[in-house]
Amino acid sequence: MFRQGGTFLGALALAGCSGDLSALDPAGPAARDIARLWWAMLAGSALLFLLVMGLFALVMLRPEAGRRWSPRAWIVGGGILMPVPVLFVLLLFAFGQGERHLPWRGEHNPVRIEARAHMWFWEFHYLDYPDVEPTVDVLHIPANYDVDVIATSDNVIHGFWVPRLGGKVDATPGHETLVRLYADRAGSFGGICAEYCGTGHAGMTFRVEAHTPAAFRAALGLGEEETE
Amino acid sequence: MMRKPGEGTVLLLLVAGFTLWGLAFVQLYTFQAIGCRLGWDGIGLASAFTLQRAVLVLSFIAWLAAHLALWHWLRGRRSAGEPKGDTLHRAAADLAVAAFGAAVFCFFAVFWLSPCL
Amino acid sequence: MNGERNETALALHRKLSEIWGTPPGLGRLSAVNHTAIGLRFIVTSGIFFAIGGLLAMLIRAQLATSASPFMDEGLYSQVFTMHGTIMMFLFAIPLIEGFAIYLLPKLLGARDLAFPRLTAFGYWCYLFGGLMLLGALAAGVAPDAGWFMYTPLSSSVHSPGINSDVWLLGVTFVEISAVCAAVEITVSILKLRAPGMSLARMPIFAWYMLVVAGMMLFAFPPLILGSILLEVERAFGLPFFDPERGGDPLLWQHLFWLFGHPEVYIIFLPAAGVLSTLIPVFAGRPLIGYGAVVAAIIAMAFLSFGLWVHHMYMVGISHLAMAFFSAASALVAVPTAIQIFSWLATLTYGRPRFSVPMLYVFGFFFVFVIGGLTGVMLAMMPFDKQAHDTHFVVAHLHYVLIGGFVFPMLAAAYYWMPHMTGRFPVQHLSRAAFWLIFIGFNVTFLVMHLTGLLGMPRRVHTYAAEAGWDTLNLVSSIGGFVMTFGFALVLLDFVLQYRYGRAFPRNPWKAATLEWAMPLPPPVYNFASLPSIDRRADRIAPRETGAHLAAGRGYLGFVRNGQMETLGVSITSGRLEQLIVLPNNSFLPLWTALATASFFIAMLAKLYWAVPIAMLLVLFFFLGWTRVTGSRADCGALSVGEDEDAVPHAECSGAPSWWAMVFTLASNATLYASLLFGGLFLWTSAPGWPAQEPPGMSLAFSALTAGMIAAGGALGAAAARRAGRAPRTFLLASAAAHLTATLLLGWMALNGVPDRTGHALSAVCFAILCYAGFHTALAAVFALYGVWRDATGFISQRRDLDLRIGRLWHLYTAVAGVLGVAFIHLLIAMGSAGGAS
Repeated sequence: MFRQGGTFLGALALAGCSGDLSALDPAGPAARDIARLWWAMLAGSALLFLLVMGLFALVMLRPEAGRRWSPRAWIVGGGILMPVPVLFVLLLFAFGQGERHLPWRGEHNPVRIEARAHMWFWEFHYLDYPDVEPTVDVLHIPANYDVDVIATSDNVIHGFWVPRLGGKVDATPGHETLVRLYADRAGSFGGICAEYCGTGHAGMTFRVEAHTPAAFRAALGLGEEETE
Repeated sequence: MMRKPGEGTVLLLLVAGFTLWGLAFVQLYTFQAIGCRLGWDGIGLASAFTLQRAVLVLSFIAWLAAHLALWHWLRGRRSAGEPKGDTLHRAAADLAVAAFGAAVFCFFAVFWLSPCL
Repeated sequence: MNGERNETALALHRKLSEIWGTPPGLGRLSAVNHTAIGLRFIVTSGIFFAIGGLLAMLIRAQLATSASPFMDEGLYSQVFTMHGTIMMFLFAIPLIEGFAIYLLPKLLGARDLAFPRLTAFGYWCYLFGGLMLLGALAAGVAPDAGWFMYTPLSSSVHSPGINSDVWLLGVTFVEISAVCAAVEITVSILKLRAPGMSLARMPIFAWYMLVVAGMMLFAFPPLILGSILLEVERAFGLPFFDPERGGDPLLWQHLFWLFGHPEVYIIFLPAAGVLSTLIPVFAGRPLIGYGAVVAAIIAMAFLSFGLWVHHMYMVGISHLAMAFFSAASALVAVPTAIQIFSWLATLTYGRPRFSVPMLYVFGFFFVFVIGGLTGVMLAMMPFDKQAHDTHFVVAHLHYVLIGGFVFPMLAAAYYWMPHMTGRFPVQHLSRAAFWLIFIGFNVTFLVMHLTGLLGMPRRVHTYAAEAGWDTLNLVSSIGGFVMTFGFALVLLDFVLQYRYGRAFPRNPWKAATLEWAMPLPPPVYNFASLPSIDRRADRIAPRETGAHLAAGRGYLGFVRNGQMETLGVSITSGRLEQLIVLPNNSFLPLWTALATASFFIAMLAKLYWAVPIAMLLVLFFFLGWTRVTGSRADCGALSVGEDEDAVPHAECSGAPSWWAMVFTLASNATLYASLLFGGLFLWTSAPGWPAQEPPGMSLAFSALTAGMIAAGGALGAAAARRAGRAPRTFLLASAAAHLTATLLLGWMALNGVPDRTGHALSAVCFAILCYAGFHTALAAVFALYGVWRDATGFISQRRDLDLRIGRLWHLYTAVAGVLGVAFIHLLIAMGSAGGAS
């Protein structure tokens, strides 16, 4: 019993937040922004939780102490004046972040890759390189470069998600949905299907390989010439 | 057979504010979708200010005006003879104000965020 | 003197019990009494809770370790789908209905709900629909596409078996029961109160249930529509959701979540109503901020309809559109906070005492606040893009639903159990049970937030050891089993109380609401006479009031012609308005529900020839319900005691059944609006538009049809104004027009839209025509029913209720029909190749 508890705490401390699929172990700007948002919200939430539970303890144990505020002050102060500004600031922050993560046109065009979801594997088409054969369950991207993944499906709805690089997006039949990925460095990142898509759902994993420019061209079997 | 006019009117007053908010929601969301479908986002009026944004911003302002008008009317109604200190009539006026606040809070993004991307 | 009064009270008790009671043996199946049916709802939903809980244990057993061989993926998908479906549709909503049905008349000072037979019908629909789903689970063909049933996974291509049909039909069946309950609860709260109880004097729980019932009227229709459309697509190939034929899977998501999110608040608000009732009792003072709470729950009801898209941030909706929903999702925290701080203020200005129900109130505060805070996090679009569809959301939703529903309902169970049994809790096990549930719950779900952020998606039956989720999942599973022990202990506790609790006939908690102003367990007729209310109804003195009422000294403290009588009041002021005569025990609700079940079973078994027969059977039984309503002679005002008179409801313009039709039509209009908006949505969003082969509709023919619908409606409506002056000519003309309109609409549906399985544009037009045709056909039935009632002497100038109810249907049919025909032309013009695009 104790050993189990110990193992648990140890695992928690050691493993912490790292992991091949951990949204708390970001490897790109979008995922990092969101992880920061999470830690900020966690801290704020912890404070608010302690406040409410503290007030509950106060009114249960020493009710007379709470009577220094009028009933109206309780309701208007706690119910409106406290939450509204907090929510408004949070919302502004989240809107700004969401706007920043949209797949805008930047200085150079992003690499465009279509992710076609099947039951139950992923097929990646490199739209900028029509001669390159599509890859299955492995997505090659250049590191330090904007990549737009266009997710779609011709069967059921799937979800394209690479937790360490950024948010997820549904692959819906009849629709093309866009998500911008950006890897800070070369490396290999896990990806999964997030939307329930039938009995093969759990096994519908894939890998994202982020390469240096040369390695990227090599991975796709392209020559050395410049294309910029 | 006799029927008191206005049976349950207070219920309508209670929901009036947020009904307006709901209509604003439906109108803005519908026009956003229709505008993107019809390409209003590509019709520039002044630099980055598109027809799409103009329609949404004007609608938003009109809805805020409607909310204020409703609140004004409810206040006038209250001072003109509704029983004093009546909980429900006060709640109705409070709800009209709250609905105005909710409209600002929910729809202010029409000035800012990307309407079709 | 005292003895004499007791003797009178006893005699009155005997007479009332005889009239209001339920017969023994098989006669129990004919019960319509709200106390009996309310308890049946509560017990049945408890059984479903146990089944859903066992399924959850299977899920936790499967996920306890990586690569678990316990269940295969097919079985697992049935288990998690049924866990969600049972908990939402067969446990939470029916438990709320049960509590409301049991409590409301007692809180409002009435003897029963407005439509006792509808209560019974609703119960049978719930039971039969639930049994359909359970039967499928036992047979291994349970729904397996998730409780959210996303198409195309749930479409006939990807789910060819019967599984998805079971969900669509079973859940719709249960929802009929929910809509019935919503209509009944709305009307009962508005009309069936004790005289003097104005809206502003209602106990706060009635306000909560009024708002919840109103929400149910508008939230369930989108899902009912979605289920009908998806079942029609599966059965007959009309492509509403198929992207290859102009449909759109996103339409299903919109319809589902337009129901699904208000649903969360439909579940939370009654529980909050329980808290607003309990906390003042244990604080020993009335609720502070009654008006603020009423305003907060109304605001919450509206806001909850403006945040469904936060389930759909991933589907590719524009940032601005999502922002509306994101802001509303965040804003809904404000009315929640207002309620929480009203409760805190009530406690601080009272003298709070700890008791078992208050222990669960503590559990609510702890758990629900965390759930609310994670809810605000998830409302933020960037964060949701990471957390969506992970175990973080699983953790969040359980914090909200168990914290915001199960804990308050357990508080309610401990609080009202003495009311139901007349016995006081034994309380040896209660505290241990609470701590097991509380600790088990937090162990299970607190760590699950982290599991989700570490990337574990929902609905996976297995995961790799390398993912590093083993320890967290094992902890969750252990916590889950601890929690289950806690629930088992609660059950044992209830059994012990029922068997061994000491009898306690009156008001154990020193509450100040009307339901305690009766002997416990409550008599079948609730109050031997009805109170007159002169203050807010959470400030009465149950002991004195109870004695006064039991002695027959209030309204209706007598028996007249063996009738079941209660009082109706005007909506706002609570002024005495009418004498309501309720129908007695009857097997008709059971028969009607069985006929309804035969409809659903015929659909399920694909015996489509039997479907119209089943529908006629349902209509036949429903017409049978009217045999005991109404009267053949004008009666005028009758004495109701306390020196006051009131007219019978059949002679009153604001009769409960008239209001019921108003609310039914409001709900119906929501379904229709969802259909029309669905058509517009497909035009804006679906691939494969404009349609290549649009329906060809002749404008002249459509105008003729619309004219016929309008004529039928106008004639039927005019007939109500001629009650007592030979309305039959008008009614017969109306029926003829409606029948002609039905034929014209049928012709348009069959010949005007040949491509209905080829493109969603045609399919939507077809659906609108069917909707209009169904309404004109029923309008003809209403008109002919009016003729029958007139011919048999039930109609006079005073007794025109039947015609005025019909009038509402006629007017609605006219508006909806004409609008539908016009809308079809608009949609065809916009959605055809060569039209505007």
